[in-house]
Amino acid sequence: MLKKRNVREAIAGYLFASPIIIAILVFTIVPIFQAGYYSFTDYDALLQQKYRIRFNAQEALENYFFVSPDEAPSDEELLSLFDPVDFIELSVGVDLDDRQKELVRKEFNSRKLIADFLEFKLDRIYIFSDFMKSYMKNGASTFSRYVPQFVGLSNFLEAFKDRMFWISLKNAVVFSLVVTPIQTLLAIVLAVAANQRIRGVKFFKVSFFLPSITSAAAISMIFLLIYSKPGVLNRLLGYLGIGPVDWLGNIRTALPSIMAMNIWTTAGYFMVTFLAGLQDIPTSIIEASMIDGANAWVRFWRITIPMLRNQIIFVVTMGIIGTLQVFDQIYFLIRNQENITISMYIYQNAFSYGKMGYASAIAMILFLIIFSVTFVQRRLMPEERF
Amino acid sequence: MKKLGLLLVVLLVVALGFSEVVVRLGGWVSSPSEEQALEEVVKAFNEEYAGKIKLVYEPIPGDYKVKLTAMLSAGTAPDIFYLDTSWAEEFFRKGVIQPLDLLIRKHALDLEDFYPSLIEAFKYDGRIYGLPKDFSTLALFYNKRMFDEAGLEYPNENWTWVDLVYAATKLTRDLDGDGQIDVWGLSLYRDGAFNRVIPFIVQAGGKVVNEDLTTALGDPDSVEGIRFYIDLHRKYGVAVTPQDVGAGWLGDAFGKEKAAMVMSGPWMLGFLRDNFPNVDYGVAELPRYKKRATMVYTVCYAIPKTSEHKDEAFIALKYLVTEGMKTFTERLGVLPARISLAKDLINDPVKGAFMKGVSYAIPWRIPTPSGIFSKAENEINTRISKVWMGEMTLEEAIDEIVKNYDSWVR
Amino acid sequence: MRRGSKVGRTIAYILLITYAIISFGPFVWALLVSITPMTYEKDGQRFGVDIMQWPPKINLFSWPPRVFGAPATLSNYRTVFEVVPYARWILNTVIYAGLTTLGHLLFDSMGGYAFARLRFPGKNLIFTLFLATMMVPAYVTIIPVYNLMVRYNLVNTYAGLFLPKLTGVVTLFMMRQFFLNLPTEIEEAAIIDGAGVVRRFFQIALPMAKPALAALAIYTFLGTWNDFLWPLLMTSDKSMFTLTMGLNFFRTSYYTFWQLMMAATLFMTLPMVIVFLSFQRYFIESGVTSGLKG
Repeated sequence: MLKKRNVREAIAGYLFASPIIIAILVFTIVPIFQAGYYSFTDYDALLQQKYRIRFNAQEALENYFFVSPDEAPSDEELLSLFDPVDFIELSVGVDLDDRQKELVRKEFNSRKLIADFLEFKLDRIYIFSDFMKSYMKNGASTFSRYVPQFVGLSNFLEAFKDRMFWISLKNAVVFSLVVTPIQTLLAIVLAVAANQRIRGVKFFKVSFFLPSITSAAAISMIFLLIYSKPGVLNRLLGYLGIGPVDWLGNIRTALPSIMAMNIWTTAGYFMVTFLAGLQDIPTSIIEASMIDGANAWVRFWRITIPMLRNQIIFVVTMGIIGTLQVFDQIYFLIRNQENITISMYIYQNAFSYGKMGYASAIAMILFLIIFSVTFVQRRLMPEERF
Repeated sequence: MKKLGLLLVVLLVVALGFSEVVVRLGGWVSSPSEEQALEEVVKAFNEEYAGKIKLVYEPIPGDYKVKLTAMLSAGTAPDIFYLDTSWAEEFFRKGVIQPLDLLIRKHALDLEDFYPSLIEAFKYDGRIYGLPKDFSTLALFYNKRMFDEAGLEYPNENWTWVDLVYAATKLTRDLDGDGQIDVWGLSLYRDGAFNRVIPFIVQAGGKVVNEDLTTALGDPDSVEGIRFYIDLHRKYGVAVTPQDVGAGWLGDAFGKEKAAMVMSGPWMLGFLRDNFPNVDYGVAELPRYKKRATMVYTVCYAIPKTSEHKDEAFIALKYLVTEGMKTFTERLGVLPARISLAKDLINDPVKGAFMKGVSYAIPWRIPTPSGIFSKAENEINTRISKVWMGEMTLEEAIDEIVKNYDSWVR
Repeated sequence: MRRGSKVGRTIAYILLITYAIISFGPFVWALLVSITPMTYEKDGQRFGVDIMQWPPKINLFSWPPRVFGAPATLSNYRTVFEVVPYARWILNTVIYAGLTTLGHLLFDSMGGYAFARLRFPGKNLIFTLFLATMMVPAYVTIIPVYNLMVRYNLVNTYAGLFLPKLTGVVTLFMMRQFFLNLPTEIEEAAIIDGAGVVRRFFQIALPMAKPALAALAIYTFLGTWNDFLWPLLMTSDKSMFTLTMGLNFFRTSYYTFWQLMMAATLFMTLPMVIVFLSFQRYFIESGVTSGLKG
């Protein structure tokens, strides 16, 4: 009786969990393994349609022999002139690797093709993979789908030699190391300030939160305006005698400008986290310390910061992981290749140059870095968060 | 029953006869007026080929190269699309673009009428992969009022670098006497400027690459060209970037009369007409030094190998480079890639300078062993920017370029 | 019971007010630009407006108020709908964010319930595996997922946009955590009454989960509404763009239409501000800190 209930519960459990298990499997877990596989291949997006090219077989053969079927000499003569590898590479326009060439030489049914040619059966548009299905005696499946070449570790070796990889990685790391501490500290200071029995705490919370609910795209556009050379920021700084700076155009200031913007976006968000943490600190501890005569400065470092330890570790880890992957702002605001971050470099390689194998290798390296950060966090904060 | 069958057959034949082949045309969107002119050509084509071919225009907004790469790898690319000389070869090499030689022969398109340099720009491995849509060369725009006020003669085809610096120096002025310069002789790009520097390199007798595709930027002549470009800003102090004067691009700086001269292409003509109709300007050929040189930018129409209707696509393509080009030349003022359409323009007071340039222009396509120049371009651009800002010397930059060039184009 | 001295409070006020200005400033500036006309007519002549001029010459005491020396107008907000298919982009974004949110509400709560309440073989293993995927950056999976969409011809379709986003590990944990903290007494009573799992879930657990579901819905909707990378890859046709994608439309290589861009920017931000103000309890109390208080 008990057993039956267990079985029914297990079935129900699988049923309930199945949508999410399938989704995570299809869209996360399988792709992770695929990306791992890609990173060891020369996967090229542009070659994906290699075997899907279309051609008129009749015209291709006429072009190959320089003759049309009605004027053609005997089939034996044509056959002696015909080399299937040349035909496929030059007249059809599909490049073959050595293994494929060998396969074509061995298995291509030239006789059947020439017979069909002389009978005018070929005057239609063929898809290359279907064409090979008809005229290969064996092994046509090699031509049904693009399979990238396995290249071992060469993508990773290339990355280590690639200056752009190091620059984009350095930019991301610098971004992370500058933004994370500043945004955390600013958030704590704001939270401590808001925890002083202030009127209108709600108003401050709401106004600090506003940037974080605005999309990075929209914020980028607003700062594109503010940062422009004749823009408002330069006008305000002009009062301080700071000359107009081309914030986003200058290689030196572009990334710091985006860092400042990023801090502006997230500090308020994290401030709310810290405020919640602060409100959990028992007032008795603070009162005790005040009786001890500790001043505000000492209280801040000796009591507030240690009490917020878990929140700080959480915010710092989230901050590092988030900033290492910053993309939207870079996409909208960075014009100079020298200032891009690693996520942008992955995007460029995968989707602009079509080098998906190489892009996957860089993504794997990013994964390792983020994994280490998370690992360190787990060591610092061993208790289960969930 | 038999009759019904016959009727069905007849209906089927009629239906087939009337089923049009749809050919999709994709391209980036550069201006609303261009989009309009293209729609018009498409409409005219569809009227002429009604019942046979239906051309559909599908502009591709956003990052064009990324979108095109995506569509080509998904097999959903349009049947005809634009490729730019500067990166077209990346696609030729991957074997995704249909060579057009056979189609040109089959559909009897006369290539003799095209400027040879523009056909050459889209050849790879001896085959033609695209036909030019139009072209642009760089020429010198000058503000007539400012030249008059400075008592200078207008630039002409015999101008040299010396004349350029002399005029630019006189034109760089502080109008209100507050110690700040208000008007500059020249505006030049600092970022992404390499293609604007190339004419100077060639004018100085240098070149970008050697026969064996190694870099020639370290040659003394080439260095002289790059140095002159940057000296216009750093040494002579007569040139600033458009951003320095609160302008978006060269045309904006010129239109706002912040710069007396800019080197730009015919795309500026329409912009000036629409936005700054009161600026009185002239256009001359670029000044020469040891040689004459300018850049030619061109775009072609290409057909993907995966297209289902290549013949129909080529018929449409042929229409675009014949009738279409005529319309674009008349309506948009672009420079036609065909000699027969260009005849009258060579003596045009404004467009003449651009048309004359095509005979000695260098196409914006740098051959490399891998077919990819964009990475090297980024690297070189970065260094030009840095030298411009004084963050490194030209010697250091050239040194780094020569040392690393191979790894950028591999 | 005193918290903070008078001096401390004054400093706190100065800090908070300064930061509130910094926080609001950019939005206010964007608003000013968005209500500035592109050109205006005066004495029968048309003038262009330079939104880079300084000071911005604001005069609130005339009607209509003047910004950058020109009469303020809301016409840019209308023009945005005329020059680009903005209504279509709103629809696309609502479909994308709406379907994604529905998917999360249903599948995450079902999954969360299963992992919190039901016993089935392999549960812990699967859960640990899910936990591990959280460390994998999106850039690892995005290329294979993109290729998957390409293979099934889903690029430039709604399905391509929302299918891979229908569930998420982070939100699954949120729901699981909620169900774990939910008292079991009522459900145990229901079991004795002979109620099946489905009834227990839909009639008892789900109604009690309303606050968590609200937080989940807001969190997901906001994230999808603001998403950029996935729409960037999945949409190629203008008619399929989402709002974030569309913003680039006002910036051409020659010219930036600042007034229209700022109008479009604020327009797409407004619904989120309204959602935020109406549900701020969920944002500030459960949404953010849920990960911490477990």
